[in-house]
Amino acid sequence: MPGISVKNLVVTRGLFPAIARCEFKLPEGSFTLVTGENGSGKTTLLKAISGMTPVERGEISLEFSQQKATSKDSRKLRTISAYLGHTTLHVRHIQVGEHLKLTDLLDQKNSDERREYQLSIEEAVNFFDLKDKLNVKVENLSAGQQRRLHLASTLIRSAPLLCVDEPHASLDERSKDNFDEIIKKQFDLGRNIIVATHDPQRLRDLSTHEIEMVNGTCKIAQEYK
Amino acid sequence: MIFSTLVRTLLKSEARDKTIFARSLPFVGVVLLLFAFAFDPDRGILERIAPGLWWVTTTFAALFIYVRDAHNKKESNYVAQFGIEGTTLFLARVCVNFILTGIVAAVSGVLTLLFFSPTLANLHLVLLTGFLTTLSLATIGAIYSPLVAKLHDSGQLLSLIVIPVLLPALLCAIRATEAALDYSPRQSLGWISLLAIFSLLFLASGTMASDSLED
Repeated sequence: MPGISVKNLVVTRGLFPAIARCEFKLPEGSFTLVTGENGSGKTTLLKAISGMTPVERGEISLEFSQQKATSKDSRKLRTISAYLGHTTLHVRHIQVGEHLKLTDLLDQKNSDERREYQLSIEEAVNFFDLKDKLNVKVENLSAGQQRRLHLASTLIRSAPLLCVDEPHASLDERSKDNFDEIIKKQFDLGRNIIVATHDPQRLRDLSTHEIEMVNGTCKIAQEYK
Repeated sequence: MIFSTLVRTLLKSEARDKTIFARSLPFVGVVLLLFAFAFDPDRGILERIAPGLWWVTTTFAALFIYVRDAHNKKESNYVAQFGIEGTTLFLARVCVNFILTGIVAAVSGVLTLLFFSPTLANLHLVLLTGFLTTLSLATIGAIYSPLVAKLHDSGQLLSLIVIPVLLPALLCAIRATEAALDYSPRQSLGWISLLAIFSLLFLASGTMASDSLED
């Protein structure tokens, strides 16, 4: 079945098992909320699914309309899933416009054709209100503006799976609403989405599944649709 | 395309950070000036120590560039999330390091000429030595900066591990330059050949280990 399959997953941080024997399956076209207390393993799970952290044991496999990858090749996982962490990752010394173009160029190697859900640079700039910041260096943006740039940079990527960690952190109310609106649109257009959040109410109406993390173990708590 | 984009981005990043102008080149200037005044010019010591000083100063000044690269973890992580081949990333780093180290080596070479006035013989061999030594430095910098990037005090650690690894190549570079300036092209060529072997060895091992380095 196409989608996300996690089998017997173990991920360690140092000597500490951050994820222990996690197992679930999510179909293609799902919007999943990952909930749990601080330190329960939400971020590690998202990073493992995106190929951003090594898997100690078990397997993650992603399969979305003709694109396939498993955790045996973390590089390939990174090409079909985009990770949006709660710490902003940027190339600091370039301007916002250059940053978006760089993201677009680096992503082009992963997909020749543009996906319906993929935002163009112009759309992302307009949506995240970055038009007057295009010539500003990334390091000179405020935390909230950097977060908006991070969101914009992630949404112009072609990856069919979006793993979003605490998307509302550092955003004002208007930007939070903007994000919810765009994430809904992305999902409607066919992007698979996993969101780790402490505020599940904001996105519960959209979600199809909910995974609850407790001390590094996980279970599908709800299947809504 | 990806390679040139990476090189351009890393160079832009350096151009705006200005490590080379704020740290590397002032360091080269101060050290060479200090040595020029510290030794008696009449006893011929300056001429004799010129090749060694040129390469030792260049190496230490280049370390500032590699330490800066190691500190740019967020940038490396940003690029890594696109699943780019480790070899492409590694070679882009080598290319950027080569350009920046080349600038440092050139300025350091010109200042050595000005302050220590060594006889300028066999310029082609000196340039060839310069090319190969810069390549060795750039490659070792590209291998070790991602390795120490995740560690605390990565700057100090980088200096500690880079210098011992570079030592054989550095000795070859100094000997080759000495011999070239001393009108002994044959001897210089011998050292240059050894230096070329080290450069290729560094480049080959870095390319082979590039995927693990970037992960």
